[in-house]
Formats: sequence, structure tokens, C-alpha cells
Amino acid sequence: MNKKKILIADDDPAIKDALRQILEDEGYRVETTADGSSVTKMHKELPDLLLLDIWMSGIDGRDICRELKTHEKTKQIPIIMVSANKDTKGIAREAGADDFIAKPFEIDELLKKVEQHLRD
Amino acid sequence: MAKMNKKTINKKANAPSQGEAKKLTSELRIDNLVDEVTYAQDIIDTVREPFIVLDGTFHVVTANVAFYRLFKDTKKNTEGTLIYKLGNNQWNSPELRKLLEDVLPKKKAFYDYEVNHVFPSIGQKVMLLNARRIDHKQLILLAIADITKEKELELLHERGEKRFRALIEKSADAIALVNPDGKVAYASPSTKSVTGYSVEEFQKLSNPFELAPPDDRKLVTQLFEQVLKKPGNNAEAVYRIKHKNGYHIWIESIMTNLTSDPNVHAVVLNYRDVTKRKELETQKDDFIGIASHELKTPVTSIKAYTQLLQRQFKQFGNEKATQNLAKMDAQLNKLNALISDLLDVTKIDTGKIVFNKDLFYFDTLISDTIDQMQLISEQHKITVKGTVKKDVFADRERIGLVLTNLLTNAVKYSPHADNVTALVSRDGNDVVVGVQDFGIGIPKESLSKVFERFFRVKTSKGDTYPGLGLGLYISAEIIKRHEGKMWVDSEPSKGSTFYFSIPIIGKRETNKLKTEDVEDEMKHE
Repeated sequence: MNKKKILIADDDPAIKDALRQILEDEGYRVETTADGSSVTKMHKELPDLLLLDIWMSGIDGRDICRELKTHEKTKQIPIIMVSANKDTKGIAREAGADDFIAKPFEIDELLKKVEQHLRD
Repeated sequence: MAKMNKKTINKKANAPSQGEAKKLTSELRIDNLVDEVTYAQDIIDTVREPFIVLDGTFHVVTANVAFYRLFKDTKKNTEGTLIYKLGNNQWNSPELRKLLEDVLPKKKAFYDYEVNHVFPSIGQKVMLLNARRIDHKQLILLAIADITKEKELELLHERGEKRFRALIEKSADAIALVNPDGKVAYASPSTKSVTGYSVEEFQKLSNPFELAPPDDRKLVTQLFEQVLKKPGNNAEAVYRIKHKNGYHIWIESIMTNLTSDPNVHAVVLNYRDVTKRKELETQKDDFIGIASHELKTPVTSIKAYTQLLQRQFKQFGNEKATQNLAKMDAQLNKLNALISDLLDVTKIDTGKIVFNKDLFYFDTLISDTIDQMQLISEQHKITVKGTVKKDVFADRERIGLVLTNLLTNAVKYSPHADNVTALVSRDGNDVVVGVQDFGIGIPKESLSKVFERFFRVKTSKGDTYPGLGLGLYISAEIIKRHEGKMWVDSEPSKGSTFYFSIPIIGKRETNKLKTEDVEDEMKHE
């Protein structure tokens, strides 16, 4: 079975670790990065979905999102923005993300969103 | 007396003989002279001002009652005495001598000559001297007005005015009087230390708000116009101005319309530099923003691990552990809510709170929120009465927060009850939600304070309940921003019902925030 690949861009190791376990338990392939700028430089083997933290050290998640959404190769990748900001929704909308989820999140809600965007 | 004389003249003149006529004439003259002197004496005695008549050698011919009264002297000691020798030589002043002996011979009179002299008998006095030479009689009239009291008052008045002037001029606050057309009629010296501009430069401005950047200027000018509308109006404003040295400073100013005050006739503008304070406030807000973001990061991973464990224990069939982890998760939600409250308060205070309004089915929000609450309230059964059966346009998450806050309070403040009721209804174009508890209630005197920031109910024993005292404040602000209302009915030891109502179709939020504010917002999270 061809496992779907999810990329997590977040600079907190614990959040990355917990998310990896949750998603792997659900049968996804997971890659993580703390370096937001590397996300825009992916060429081979693009992820099927991106979980993108808005406020990472040194880089604004919104800029990454905008850039990915302008490139032909990457614009099809669903992006779910993740942030502790209550206005994640507005920010996600503004940056052209497909969805958002506020930190801290409920696992069930996160999985529902991931599943939904991978299906679409 | 003059009338009688006239009659006499007329009568006698009817049939006068030569000798009789002569005698009559001289009698008449004497009569007239006596009359004249009495007449003059009458005047002199009646005048309140001390008055003396001197002969050519400066001996006193006569003095009036007022003179004796003022100088506490007698006629006997005075008349015929050389003026300089009066009252133990107390008039022997070089000034008076000069006036009488030098000025008078050259001039016929002198007026209002002010003399400040210590009189041994009556102390220091300020006198106003008026003198006139009556040459054909070789007499000098000298009027002495005691103006000591007036002088003292004048001095006091002057001192008072100086004091007020000093208060204004030495005040660290800058003060300006602004005419209705905006022109600065007066600017205090502190203008320079606050704005960098000299008083003269400041007065050349078309109005004192010219130094504010456009947005701030518009705001503060509007406020000024409001104040202008009615004498007595006043307003407070905090805005930026560009200092002469090129940087912006924050100004806190108070305007008071004193246009109908005859002493002022202007709007008084009292302002000070509050840049330091604003910087500290911003630092505090930034700090809370960063702190809450930093706190939320570990809460997020702990919550994720907790839920992960919960799933794993469930797989192994460990019911007890699963339940405990669910409780732990609920506590993490509480912790998260506390952190969010801190951040929300900062945002409400700085006007940066952003609402995301959407259409949602109201009854579902009610049941979802109550279900969640029910999970962590074992003792209380939460029941719903009524429905709305409508989509509502509002910020779902934040209206949910209000309901959660009300339910949390209802449970918290009814430790001996076992149920809480949510009353849901429609009232015209509004939805109305009430949360009723059967707990300790709120004393009447505290009712008006429950929506204030940091307010916490105290029991009759003085015990407080846990919490930051922010829940109702935040709730009320959220409802206010939805053009809604919030109120409470309560009776001590019977319970409270907190209500809120919001329009079914709320106004769309006009997004007033500029990019710069959104950036700010990002930094806070």
C-alpha cells in the first residue's frame, strides 16, 4: 500500500515527536523539519500534505505558505496551518492555506482534517 | 442758613437808611464769613480722609476729626504746632520736608504722592498725600489718605497671581490656551521640554494638533471639536506627536472647554509626555503575548502525549487509565483557557481582539459546549431548556467561550447544588442565553462589579474561589463587541442567573487592523 507522506514544519521538538507518533500510528509516513525555509526548496518526493506552524524561529509560516501556493509544482499540496494564535483561521485564510488548527489541538480533530484533505 | 440770610437781606433792603445800610453790610459780611468757615469746617469734618491745614511756616492751623482719629492725637497737641514736631516728630521725614519745602513753592499742588513711612504712634503706613497751596491765604491744604490696607491687598493679589503663574509656568505638564479656531493663545514654558518647540514656535502652529501624525490628528481634532460644542465639556486623549527632534512621542492630554469663563475664554489643553509609560505598557503586552505563546507550546505537546497515551491505553483495554487520562486532558484544557484569558485581556485592553464571525447553528454550539462541560462536572447535571433553531452569525469559538465561562462559574459557585440550567430562547432578532445556578449568589453591593476586571466573589466568611477574575470581564467584552448585552439576576444563598443576548445576524466585523497591527498580533502569539 502506498503510504501518504506528511511533512511537519514546526520548531518545537516535543510537538514534532508527538505528532509523528500520532500520524504514524494512523499509518502515515512522516517527515519533520524545524527549518521552515527548507520546505520551499523541496524538489523530489513532495509531501502529500503539509502541517505548517505559523510562528517558527526566523521565518514566518505565512510567507512559506504563500510561496508554495504560487508555484505550479507545489500549489496542489494541501497546507494545514497550526498555531497558538486564536486568529489562526484569519491568518490561514489570508495566506491561502487550505485549513487551520489551533494549538493545543484535539488529536481526533487533527486526524479528521488530515484525512479530509488527503481524500480531496 | 443761607436761605435765612437771603430773607434778611430782602427784608432789610425794603427800607434802608444810609447808616443802617452800612451797618447791615458789615454785619452781613461777618455773617457770611462765619457761615463760610462753618461750612468749610463741616465739610472738612465730614470727609473721611485725614486733612490738615498749614500756614506758610508749616504750623498746623486746623485738622479734621479723621486726622485725629487716624493719628490718635488731640486738637490741643496739634493746632499751632509745627508739622514736623507733631506726635514726637513722627512727621519729620525727609520726603515730606522735600515736598512741602521744595515742590510746593515751585508748583501750586502735588497729587497722590505715595509715602511709605513708619509712624511711631501707628506703625508702618502707606499714605497718599495731596497738597494744594492757597496763596492768597498763605495756607497749605494737606490731605492724607491711608492706603495701607489697599496696598496690602494689592500685594496679596499680586503674590497670588504670581503664585498661580508660577504653578503654571513651573509645572512639568505643558499648558496651552486654545482659541475655538485652534490658534494657541497661550503656551506655558514647558511646551519646550515636552514638544521641543519654543513657546513662540508653538504659537505659530495653525493648531496644537498639527504635530500629530495624520491618523492621530484626525482623532484628536474630532475630540477637540466635541469639546468645543459646549462650555464645560472635557475629554482625555492619548496620541502621538512628532517632537521637534524628529521622533514621535506619546502625549496624554486633557482638554477643558472654558470658553464661557470670563477669565479664560479658551479651551485649556493640559498635556504631558507619556512615552515611557506607553513603552512599558507595550513591553508588558508583548511580554504577556510571548509568555502565553511559550506556555502554550508545552501545553500543546503535553496534551498531544496525553491523548496519545489515552489511545494506547484504550487499545490495551485499560479503562481506568483511559479515564484518568481523559481527566488529565480536561485539566489541560483548563490550563489552556487560563493562558488564553491572559492573552485575551491584553488584546481587549489594546483593542486588538479580532473576531471571526461565521454562520453556525446555535443549538449545536449550546449542546457541544454543555457536553464538554458535563465531562468535567461530575456533581452537576447540566440541562438545557429551550431552543433557537436558527443559524447565528457570530464568532462561534468566542461565544462558546462565554458559555463555558458562565457554566464554569455556575458549577464553581454552587458547590452544594447538583444541577445547572441553561435557558435558551429567542427574543425578536436576538438570541438570549441564561445560565442558572442554585449556589451562593452574589451580594447586592457586588452586583455592579461582577463584570469588572479582576473581580472575584467573596463568601460571607471572606473565602475566595480560585480563578484570575477575568472570565466575566472577557465574556462581557466579547458580548459587547457582538452588539449584545450581558446581565445578571442574583440572590445571596439562592443562586444566580447570568444572561447574554446577541443579534441573530450580527454585524460583519470591519477589519480595522492594518498590516502593521497584524504583524504585531503575530508577535504576540
